[in-house]
Amino acid sequence: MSTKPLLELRAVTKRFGAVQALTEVDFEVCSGEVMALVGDNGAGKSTLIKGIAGIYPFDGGEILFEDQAVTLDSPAASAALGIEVVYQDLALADNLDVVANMFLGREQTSMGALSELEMERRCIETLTSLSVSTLRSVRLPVASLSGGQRQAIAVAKAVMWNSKLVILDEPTAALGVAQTRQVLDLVRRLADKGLAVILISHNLHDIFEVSDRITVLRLGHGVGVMERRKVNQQEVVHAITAGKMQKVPGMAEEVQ
Amino acid sequence: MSAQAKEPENALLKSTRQQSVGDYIQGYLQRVRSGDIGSLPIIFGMIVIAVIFQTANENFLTPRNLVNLIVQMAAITTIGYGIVYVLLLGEIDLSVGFVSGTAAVSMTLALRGPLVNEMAVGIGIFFALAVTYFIWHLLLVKVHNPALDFHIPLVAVLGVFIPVLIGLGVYINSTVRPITLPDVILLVIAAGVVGVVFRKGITLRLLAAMIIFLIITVLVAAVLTGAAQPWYIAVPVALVAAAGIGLLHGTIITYFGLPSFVVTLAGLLAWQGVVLIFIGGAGTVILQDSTVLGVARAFLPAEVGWLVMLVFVAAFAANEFRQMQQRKSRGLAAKPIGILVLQTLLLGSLAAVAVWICNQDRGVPAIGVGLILMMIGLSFLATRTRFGRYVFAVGGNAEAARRAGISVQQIRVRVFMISSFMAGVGGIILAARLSSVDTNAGGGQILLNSIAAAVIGGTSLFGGSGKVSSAMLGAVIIAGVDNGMGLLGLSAGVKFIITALVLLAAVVVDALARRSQKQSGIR
Repeated sequence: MSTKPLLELRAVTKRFGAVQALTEVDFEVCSGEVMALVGDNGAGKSTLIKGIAGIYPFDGGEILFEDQAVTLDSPAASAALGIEVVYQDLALADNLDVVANMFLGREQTSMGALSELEMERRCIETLTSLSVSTLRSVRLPVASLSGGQRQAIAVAKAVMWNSKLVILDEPTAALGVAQTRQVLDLVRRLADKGLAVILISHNLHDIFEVSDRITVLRLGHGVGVMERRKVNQQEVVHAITAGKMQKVPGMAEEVQ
Repeated sequence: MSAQAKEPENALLKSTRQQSVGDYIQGYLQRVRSGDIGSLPIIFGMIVIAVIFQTANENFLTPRNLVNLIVQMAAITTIGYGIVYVLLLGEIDLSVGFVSGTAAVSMTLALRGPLVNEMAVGIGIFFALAVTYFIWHLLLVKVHNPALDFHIPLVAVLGVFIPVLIGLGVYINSTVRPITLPDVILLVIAAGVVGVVFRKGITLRLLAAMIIFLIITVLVAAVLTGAAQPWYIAVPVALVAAAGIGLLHGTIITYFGLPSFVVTLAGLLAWQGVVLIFIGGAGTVILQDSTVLGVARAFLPAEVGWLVMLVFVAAFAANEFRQMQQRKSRGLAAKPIGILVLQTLLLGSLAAVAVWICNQDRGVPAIGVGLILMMIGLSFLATRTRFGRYVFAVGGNAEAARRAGISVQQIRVRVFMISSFMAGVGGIILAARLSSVDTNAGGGQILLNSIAAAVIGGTSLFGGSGKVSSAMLGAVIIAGVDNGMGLLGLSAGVKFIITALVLLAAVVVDALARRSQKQSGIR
């Protein structure tokens, strides 16, 4: 894990009308680490990632990406920096096959015709490099895949484009035990490949399994950042519900 | 445990292994068993229909009747091709019948020349509609494209007045003489210039609207003058007008977020009205242009028929072979050469039988070749281009398509343009076959038969799944049943009921196959 953050948010705020969704929240994520983002419903997790994804740009605060001040005012701006989001509903077209889904919107063509073979080859390459192993063929329609396989396709789709930061929104919410295992392994591999990963989950068990650090949000405020190795689940639950980070031992140093 | 961990590792790589002929056939049989039956039910249906009608009336399988069948199915096949695109989106287009009628009537009147008085009123309405729509379209662009706000007055001046002036010029000029090819070239260049000037920041829709507006202006001028137009003016004008109608439908549907059912239902009524007004008191207008009549009445000489067949089969084999080579060179699983040879032989012998039968009679109908060419072109568009891929994506999951950066609205509008354009082509084919148009042009069974053709062929009504070729297979069934019952002299009532049963049977088979696919996890 490098020590310099890939993405650093300083005192970002976001207001929806009368609702203050985020109040001076600090957040950072480094390349090669899995940063978990936890908090109860309404804590501002979604608002934070939508801000990073450029869907609802922040009202105030500073954003540093690779030490450069940037503005994330549109999804295109985020995508250009190499930020990809895998939403909970995955956004896959069931009737299209794996290749078509992975390249949707960015198809390779030569002389107006789709370069199917080139796309198929790259698709197999990417999936193999991520050790996505249970897939029989990349020409199967997504409708015939299991939940874990779909999640894997959605993640592979996000990392295929030289992305540097992948945000996963509740990737294991709808999965069984074995499939959750596969997806968590995949998340770990992404970080090991040097990508920065932000993982949103309500499942602390999953978080403790794959994450390196944990950022806790509560009612739109940043409660703090914890090193996963130095805390236990109870302390995190405490931070989520009561927000009293200062009493939690092993807390990482505050982000400036 | 370790075996289990190792085995899946190979699963994906296994898919890149080269298959043998045996593997391939086994894979195919397995797909069929699990419900992926493709066109099998239709082929079975064709055989059943052929056997039943041949037993009832020995004239059914004669070369003469089979050639007739090809000509009879041409219009609904063509319209069905367009319907397939609309169904792929999960939408419906109820207006194709009378859009085909509008195109056919516009073309026939432009060819005929002298004009009945009432028509001027209709044309005037059409003209006014077009202008209103066009100006409204500019406003639409203003809403959607802030970058263009600054240029709006300029766009309005050049985009509206230049076409009007050119149209007026052509109109005045054409009162002295009919419009000729140079006039058209001039108009196209003018449209191109207007387009290029505003290329920057202007959406394709605006450009299309300009060109369509221009051509509508020409149509108006041409018909108002009463001069007879040559086919190379009349046909393109009718087709572009049809595409313009699709643009109108599609824009209304996407801009206001209305169900296509309602909008095209309104279109069904409106374009029926336009057909009535255009025909006016004339009742029936005879089509006399020999080129246009040839669309449905030309037959290839025997040798040409064989040559065309050879070219098609050779092209198929060459294309398949090239793909096989490319797949192999990239280390992907390829079709075994044995299967390729087998498929080519099968296609070749089927085509040879068809050509041989046609040559017993008047020869291969030109429109038969036309149907195959249109099918190849539209299939290519659907399966091998970005546009086609996006049509499937929008039909399967519009939200996913939108997030992938696809302009869902643009895809919708273009699909309705394709649908109306193909309806226009179908209308012209039908007019050529009947050698006239009347107040019921595009009415009757055309709309429902075209939709039924696409659905019987296996295109889903819920979007995202289907093939262009399904329209042709379905049309063979629909037209075959109709033709056979005609030979038996059955009443219209019986015909309707039997056609309904065929449609139901097709949909039931499709539903059962889908259920079986679901169970075996293919879909």
